[in-house]
Amino acid sequence: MIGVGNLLMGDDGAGIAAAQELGGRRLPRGVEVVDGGTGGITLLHLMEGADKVILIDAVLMGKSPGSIERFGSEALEEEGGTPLSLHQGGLPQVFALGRELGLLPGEIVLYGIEPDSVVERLGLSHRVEAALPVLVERLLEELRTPP
Amino acid sequence: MKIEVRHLSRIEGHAHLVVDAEHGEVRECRLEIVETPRLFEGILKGLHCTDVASVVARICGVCSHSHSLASLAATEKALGIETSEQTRNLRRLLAYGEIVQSHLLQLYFMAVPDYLGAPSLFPLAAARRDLLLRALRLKKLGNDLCQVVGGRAVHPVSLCIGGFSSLPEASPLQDLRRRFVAALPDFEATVELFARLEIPAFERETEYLCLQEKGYPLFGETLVSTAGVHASVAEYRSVLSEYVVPHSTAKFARTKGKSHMVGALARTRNAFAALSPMARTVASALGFTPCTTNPFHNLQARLIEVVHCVEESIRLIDRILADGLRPEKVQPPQGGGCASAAVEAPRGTLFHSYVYDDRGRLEQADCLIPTAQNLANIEADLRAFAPTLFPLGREEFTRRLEMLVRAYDPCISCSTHLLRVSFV
Repeated sequence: MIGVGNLLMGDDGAGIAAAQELGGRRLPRGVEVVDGGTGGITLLHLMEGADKVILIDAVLMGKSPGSIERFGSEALEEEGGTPLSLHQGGLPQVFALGRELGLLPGEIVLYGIEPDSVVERLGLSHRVEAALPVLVERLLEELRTPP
Repeated sequence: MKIEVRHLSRIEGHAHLVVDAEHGEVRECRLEIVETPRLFEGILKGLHCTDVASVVARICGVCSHSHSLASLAATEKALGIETSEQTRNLRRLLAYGEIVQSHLLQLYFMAVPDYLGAPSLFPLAAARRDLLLRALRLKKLGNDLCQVVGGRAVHPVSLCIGGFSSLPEASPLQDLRRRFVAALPDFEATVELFARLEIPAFERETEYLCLQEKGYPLFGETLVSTAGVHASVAEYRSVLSEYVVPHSTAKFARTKGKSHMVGALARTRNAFAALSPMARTVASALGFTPCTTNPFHNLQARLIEVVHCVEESIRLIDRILADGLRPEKVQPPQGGGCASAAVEAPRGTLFHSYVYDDRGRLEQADCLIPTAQNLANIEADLRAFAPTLFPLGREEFTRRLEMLVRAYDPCISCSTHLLRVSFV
């Protein structure tokens, strides 16, 4: 599970906040939680060797702040159809390169959370903060689902 | 002829390139920095000294370790905290890892497509899969070195004021050393690739600025330049002045009214003799001479530095392991103070300057970023380079100017955190 985003940019840090929360939980064997930050192409290294990768990031979906969506591999693989994740370095470009080079894991899932405000600020907005436990619960449930 | 490249590709962040030329004369030449301004210094205000380095590590995903290292050096100097040789060696190793991964990312993923005639990375990924897989293998070495020493590939966590909160184990360091040696054929292939690339011919004299230390510059207390600057880092504000231009959300910086260059080329020019033996052999294979004034030679300088950092990492790991890694008692920070420090980040000299109150809370912060220092020089180069390209036609004209900007590896994300601008 890789949290992605920038902790200095308000709700763009939602993926990192979720990863931090998950890091303190009891997780099934073989699950690793990674703070991917704004790593860009470095994400390809972080995904290496995994059977399945669950990415967590703030995603602009045009929904109300705090809304959570699950995007499966097929949505992420669609050329140009990938929702615009917010962090620098661009998840779509990283996916495209990883796909071209055959480096992507068997299954990739993206959990997107709609941000309220992405401005230079430490900490999440109230609405995203309030949705964080729901996101964490959804992620734990994803882990319980057999691949 | 007016060209406008919106959102210049293969650089870190967002910038437009605008050139207006008529009758063989360049009327206007601008690198418009359009990234949203970020006020990170404002975020730092009020933070306790123990939290500052981990927050600044989030400014950038490519040079997060350099921000942490500059931040810790400034804080330690401000609070009068000494570091041990073991800490200094490990931090140097971390800086080597970051330079390796950052330079290889720029060389292979940002620059190479231009030189192999690919419009972007993706056709290249299909046609030259071997090349990009080699690039990723090599880049991963740098990331793994950061992971082992800094606790994470990006945004390090094991550093703290006065030392390290967690030390690396000996066995992953030994493993890295073995992998660095095993990767030498990949580095040789990289040198062969870059030796074959046709570097555009363009020369322009400018001032080259970097830190000075006993060996090749990485950390240091003295700023030097080819125009005779010799000043203490504490006085960096008297050497470098920042100014505002209407077309940029990042401040520009200059020395004594002139533009200057920081980064790999500046360092190799100023400290060529201090490069490792293998790095100097690579320089010779690439036909690189330290008196070059061609900004495109930044590419070669980057590759020379990669090899230098690999060779020095092997040497340094040997020394660290021979000395043995010992847990050290870290002096808890107390009181306040003010200081400035600088490190050589992959893209050039990075300054952090802090004022702490008596309780160790940050009152004032100033970060001067390498790209902010290079922006004026990039524009000066563009103005001089553009007139030589008129016979080439619009498409090639644009492509060559883009290549020139990319040669600097500008990190717009880092440089735009200095200023608030009202857009009208």
